[in-house]
Formats: sequence, structure tokens, C-alpha cells
Amino acid sequence: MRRRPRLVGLLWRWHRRLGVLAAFFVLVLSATGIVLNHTAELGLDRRFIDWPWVIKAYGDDSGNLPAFQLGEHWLTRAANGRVYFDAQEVAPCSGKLVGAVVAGELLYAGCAEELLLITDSGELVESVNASTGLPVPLQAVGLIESQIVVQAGGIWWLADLDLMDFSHRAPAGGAVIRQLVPDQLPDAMRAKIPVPDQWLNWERLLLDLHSGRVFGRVGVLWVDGVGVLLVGLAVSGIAMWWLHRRRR
Amino acid sequence: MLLMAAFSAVGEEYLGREAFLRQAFGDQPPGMHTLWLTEETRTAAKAALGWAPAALRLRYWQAGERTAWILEDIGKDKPITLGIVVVAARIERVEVLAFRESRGWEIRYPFFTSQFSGLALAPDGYLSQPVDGITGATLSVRAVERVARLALWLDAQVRS
Repeated sequence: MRRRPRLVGLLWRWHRRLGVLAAFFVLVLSATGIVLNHTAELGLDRRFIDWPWVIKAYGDDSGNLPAFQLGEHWLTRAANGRVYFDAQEVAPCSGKLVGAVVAGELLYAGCAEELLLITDSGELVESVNASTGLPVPLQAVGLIESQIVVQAGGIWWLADLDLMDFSHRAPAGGAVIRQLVPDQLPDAMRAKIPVPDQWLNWERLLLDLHSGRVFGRVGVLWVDGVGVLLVGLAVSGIAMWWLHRRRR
Repeated sequence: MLLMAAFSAVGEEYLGREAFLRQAFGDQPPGMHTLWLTEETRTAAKAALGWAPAALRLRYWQAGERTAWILEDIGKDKPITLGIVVVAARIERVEVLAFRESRGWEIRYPFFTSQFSGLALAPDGYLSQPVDGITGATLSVRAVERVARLALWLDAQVRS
């Protein structure tokens, strides 16, 4: 007979603890959810964020365009996420530009998530990414003699771009890996690259906050955890109400 | 710092190339083929479909009447990587291999991708049947439709 009061006490204690823990997330989820429900009326998709640190955190690094000089040409990744061959737009490239080399008639631009093969007239030949076997995130691109090598996870891999095979390690020791040193894009070239339109609006930031995607995969799992927490609160609340009702 | 580091990790890979090819061909997928898109091919693609991919070189896998394609198109801002299997000029399977946008990821689910099974390319360059969209994912849905049409068109080119 004394079991039930002890169970109610235990439930009550944990219900309160979970409630305090969940309160902050409930407020964030509720606030972002309510505001997102009125995206059109509030014009959230047309209001752009001008906070430099937020824009920079999303990968826009307009003020600093590291570039690689390949002969007479320059390769850079602009703030709009596109790789430019001099002032000519080539293709989107996911992640920071980590290296570039010339081998044969092609230029190779390595972004963190993608390797672009570009002709010497600036046309995209192919985009290689994890879906086509590239080890990512790329840390660097280099050459051993005329063989392309890419670095991921601290390991240099031989890139066989005919077979799309990146499974062989570059020979350890002895082989000289040539890499280009990144440089600042000359001002004259920078002036030719179009300034990107504003792109980060309040709708996207709020959606990413609401879903947890603002913190990547970890954030999504965290929001999943908050969902489970709320289920726990609902179940413990119903259980306490039921037990209290039975006592009366 | 966590906030700074995490922003860039929004994109997700759902299915790798090897897993997709195993789904398409079983445990022993055929070798990879290369298709160069000449100026003539690109012009023909634009005439037939209204668009052509930016890349000059595409990869595909073929065994008899079955071809598998890994293709990309931009949804709103970023590329979506899709795997498409075509059998006898009809789509057998559509898989979202990687999605990098912050919204519209619902296109990865079978309730959407299964609509493409059995569709062919109509004479007007569109799919033989309309596909139901997803609220809030219009641009991603359009990207999948475009790539599905392209895969069917490319399949016809390599098998003709």
C-alpha cells in the first residue's frame, strides 16, 4: 500500500527535473514554430540577415578569398559557393577551397566535399564527390609527379579519375607531394567576381534552429532527444494524474 | 565554436555509390562507363529537355537494358546527388544519394521517389505521368524531375 505514494514521489521528482531541462528547448521550438507558421505574413523569406558572424559561419567568407594561381589563371571560390576560373563562374563547390593543381590539360580544384575537373578554358568537365567515391572531407590536393593525390583524414590517396578509384594510399616516404600555396586573389581579379546577392534569410535561419540543423547532424539528433524528453514528460504527467485520481 | 563548426555540416549523404550500385545490379555491378557530352549532345539535350548538365563528362553503369546514373542538379542553392536506375527506357528506381539544402529533404523518402517507378520519357520531353509534389520542397521536387528526365534521355542515347 505504501508503494504508490513512493512511485508518485519518484515520478513527481523526475517530472520536475525533466520539465526544467525541457523548458528552454520548448520555448525555442515554440517560438520558432509560431514565427515560421507566419513566414509569408512576416516576410521572413524576404528579410535578409546582415550579421557578418552568422553569414561567415554559414560558409560565406566574402572578405577573404583564398585563391590558387595556376599559370596565368586564378582559381578561387567566391562567397556564393561557386568556383571561379579568373572571373568566369565554373560550378558550385561544396566546402572551403583546399587546393588546386594542374595536371595534363586539366585543372583540379579541391573543395572540402568535392573535386572539380576543369578545362583550361574554364569549362567544368566533371564534379567528383563522396557519391562518386571521393574520400571527404578533403584537406588538400597535390601531385606526385603527374599523379593527382588527395588528402583526407590525414592520409594521402592516389586519385584514379578514369576508374574513380581512391582506395590506394600514396606511397609513404620518398615521394614528393607538390602542392600550391594559397594566395590572396589580386584586387583587379576580385573586382571582376560578382558580389553575391543576399541569400541568408530569416526563414532559413529559423528553420535550421527549429530542426536543429543549425548544429548539423548533432543538432538534429539533439532535437530528436528533446522530442523523446517531451514524450517522457507527457507519460509521467498522465501517470501521476492517474495515480493521484486513484488515491482520491 | 560549436555553432561555427556545425553550420557547415548541414549537408547529408544518405547512400554511397557502392550501395546504390548493389541495389541496381546486385553484388557484382558492371564496370563504369564514361559519356562525354559534346556540344552537339548538349544542344540535343536542351532541345529535348530544356536543359543540359553543366559537366562535360558523365559516368554511368550498364548491363543489358539496365543503366544506372549518378547525376546532380541544384535544388535552390546547392546540388542534390541522385542515383537513377533505368530499365528498358523506364525508371526502375530513384534514390537521393546526398542532399545539401536546409529544406526539402523529404524527397528522399519512398512515398515520393516511388512515384517515378515505371515512368518513361514522353515525346514532349516530360515524364509520362505527373508526379505529386511536396509542400515546402517545390524546388527539390523539380530538381528530381529534371534529373529523372535527363537520365531517361541519356539512357536512350547510350542504348541507341
